[in-house]
Amino acid sequence: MTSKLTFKPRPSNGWVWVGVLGLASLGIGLSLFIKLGLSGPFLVLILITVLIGIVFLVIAACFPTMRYEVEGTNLTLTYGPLLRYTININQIKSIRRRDLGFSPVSSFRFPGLAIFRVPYPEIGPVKMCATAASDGILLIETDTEKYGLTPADEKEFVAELQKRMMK
Amino acid sequence: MPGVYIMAVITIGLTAALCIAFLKYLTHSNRRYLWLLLPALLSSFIVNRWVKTPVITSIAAWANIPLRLGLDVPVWFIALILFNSPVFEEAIKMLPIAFPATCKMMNDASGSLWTGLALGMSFGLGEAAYIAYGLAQSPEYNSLHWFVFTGYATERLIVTFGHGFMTAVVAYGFYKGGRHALFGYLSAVGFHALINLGPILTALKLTPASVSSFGSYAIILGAFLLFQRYTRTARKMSGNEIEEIIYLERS
Repeated sequence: MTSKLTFKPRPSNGWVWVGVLGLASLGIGLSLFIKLGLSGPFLVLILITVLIGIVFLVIAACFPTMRYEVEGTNLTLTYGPLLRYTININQIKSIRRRDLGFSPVSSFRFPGLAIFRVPYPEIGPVKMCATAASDGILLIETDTEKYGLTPADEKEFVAELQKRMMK
Repeated sequence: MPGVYIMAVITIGLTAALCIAFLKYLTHSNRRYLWLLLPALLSSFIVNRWVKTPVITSIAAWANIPLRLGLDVPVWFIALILFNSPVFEEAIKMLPIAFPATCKMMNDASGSLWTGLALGMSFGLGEAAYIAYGLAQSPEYNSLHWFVFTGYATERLIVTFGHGFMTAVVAYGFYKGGRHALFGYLSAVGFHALINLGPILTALKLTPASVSSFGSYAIILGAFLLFQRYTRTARKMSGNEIEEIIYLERS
């Protein structure tokens, strides 16, 4: 029961949105830099757009590394080196699948990708590591946190968690 | 080439991508609604060139009032300028529902909201192009570099979504029918007039531009909250309330 099992998320094109926005931001920053150099009133704008562009491209590049690992009584949600949530399976209070609504509050959420803390109007903030932002999110609730996932093989994933829970 | 055109391409491209993302998010990737981002693209050009400008110019000529905003202009004429855009624009944005293919998409409450949202966004994208064209004709702006038009970019991005929310309110009223249609249309006209009030007060030198922008964005946020409320009601009416599968629940 201590063996490590890895589950992949559902496929999606979420990385495209992040990649395109990253390229656009980087493109704007670099063209301003070529035109104006690093002096003048646009220095801050250049730095911000280039930084945002690089961060978004790194996030898009890490997309294939999203996975859910079950080892012993721990479930670990990872997104490359950028995100790592560890959940003690015995502290899980509920597992449910549902659609989530849209909140205007800023967060890292695109069609096909939601990571980090995302606020949802019905259930509050959720720590997301999912290839969907609203459709068919598997919500895992512990005493202190809610986590949002989208395992490709949802039933097998849930069955594995249930097997590892203390009766 | 005037710099504003470069910024317009960036702004319209980015705004269109965000509109598509938002529509896909709301409609659960129903591609039918994405096509509605096309039909109202030319509406801004049409309504400005052939409706709003002739109407306001004719009235100004008839009343012998100079066509400009100033404290010496009669209040009724300022009110006319204030309502000129909302009255005509909120109407023309809904014109595509006269086509059977579009009308069919309004056959349930949620569908009417998504249809209105997409048509309003379509209008907003066309308006961004029309405003860029207008700026490019102005000697004051047409020689400036593209990167000084960041104000244009942020304003157009937000206003495009604002157009979407307002048209969704109209479409939802049309779906409910009767007095709701009139109420929906008047609500959108009211929101639109309040959004335009800030820039008009700034032109009259009664409020600073920053206050007027903040006020306009606050009204757009109000339109979004109403849209969100209608979305919740529509989901209940359509019987599409959130489906939930409970795998495990323990105390």
